[in-house]
Amino acid sequence: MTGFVPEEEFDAVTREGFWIADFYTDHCGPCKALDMILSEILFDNPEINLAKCDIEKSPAYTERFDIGGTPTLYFMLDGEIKETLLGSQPREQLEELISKVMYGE
Amino acid sequence: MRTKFPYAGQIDLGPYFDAYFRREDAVRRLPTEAELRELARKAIVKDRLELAPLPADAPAELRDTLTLRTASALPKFNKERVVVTLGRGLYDRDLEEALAGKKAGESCSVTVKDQPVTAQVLEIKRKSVPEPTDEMVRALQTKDFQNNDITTVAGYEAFVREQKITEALSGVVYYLMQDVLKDYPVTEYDEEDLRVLGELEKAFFHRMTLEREGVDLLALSREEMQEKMHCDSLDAFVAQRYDWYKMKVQQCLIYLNILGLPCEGPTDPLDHYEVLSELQNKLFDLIKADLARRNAQ
Repeated sequence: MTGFVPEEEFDAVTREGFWIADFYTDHCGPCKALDMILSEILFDNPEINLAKCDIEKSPAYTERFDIGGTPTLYFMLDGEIKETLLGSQPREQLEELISKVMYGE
Repeated sequence: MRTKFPYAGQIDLGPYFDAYFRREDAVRRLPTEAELRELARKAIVKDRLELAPLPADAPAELRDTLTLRTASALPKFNKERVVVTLGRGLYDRDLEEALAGKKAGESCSVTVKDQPVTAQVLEIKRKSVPEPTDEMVRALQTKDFQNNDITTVAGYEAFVREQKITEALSGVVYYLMQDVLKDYPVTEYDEEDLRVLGELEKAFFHRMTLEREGVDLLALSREEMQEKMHCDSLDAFVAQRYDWYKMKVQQCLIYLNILGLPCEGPTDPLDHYEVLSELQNKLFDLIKADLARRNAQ
């Protein structure tokens, strides 16, 4: 599942299963690059869920999660934050983290 | 032509290209139109995929999504129920390859880290991929690089093309410039130049914020500026960015000398805020031509 998630719905949406929370803004170039890479990963792995979190439309995200820059990714399992990543990364590095959080080491 | 800037002669990029292409991770070609369209298609339909169970006698193929029961001394492979899509090796590449061809109810075994791993297929699902539509594109709420909403499939394809080509060429430029700057360092900066660049940027931010958001940065209070730009005023914002102006001067000078252009009028960074972007586009054309020449050989 992929969708835009406002801050007040974040907990309910990401409560179960594996989620990537993508904290971004519309005018951030690296966010667009990362979004393209995430799109490929999601297309190839439909069991992965993505919560798109626009920190300008939902400013409460910034304070709640101490977002220091965009893009920031949180990798979550059953509502618990397992890994975080700042900045756009190559697909291989993202897949490595996804694998680690989804399935364990 | 400004004479105080060094390197009046033209920098020959040839040897730097040769050194770059000796790198293992060098970009050797740009994405094709077919690859770019496929990327756009995946991005548009990614949240419209439907997974449907396969009939019991149908074998799994790569890219199918399987529910498994696994058994092993390794915790990662000892699960009552785990969902895995075959093909990218997110769970385990060897196991995923072994599962291709198996039907629901069948099992396979592999060895991981010297430990036997057994997996039984509980269910196989295959995704159906719809054709992208303009309505799907609008639902993505994506903005292009000029901050306009993208509303059509063709518009989205153009956005992906710009994104991926720029990304590939920027990577080449990054490595080329690292080597060029070793031979042509710029270490002395004129404070007046940096001040002029700051004024240009101040005018640019003021105009863009007014046009795009209807916000006059010069009319905001200190508190409002803190919230918007994390500084007390537009002047304070510009003052923080002298290191960026130094880098911009450096990049402009090197690009001008690679391209054989004079530092005057429309190509003088002290006259036009957008010069660096324009020079970079010209440099991109140079790199595209070099890639095409090398691929033709």
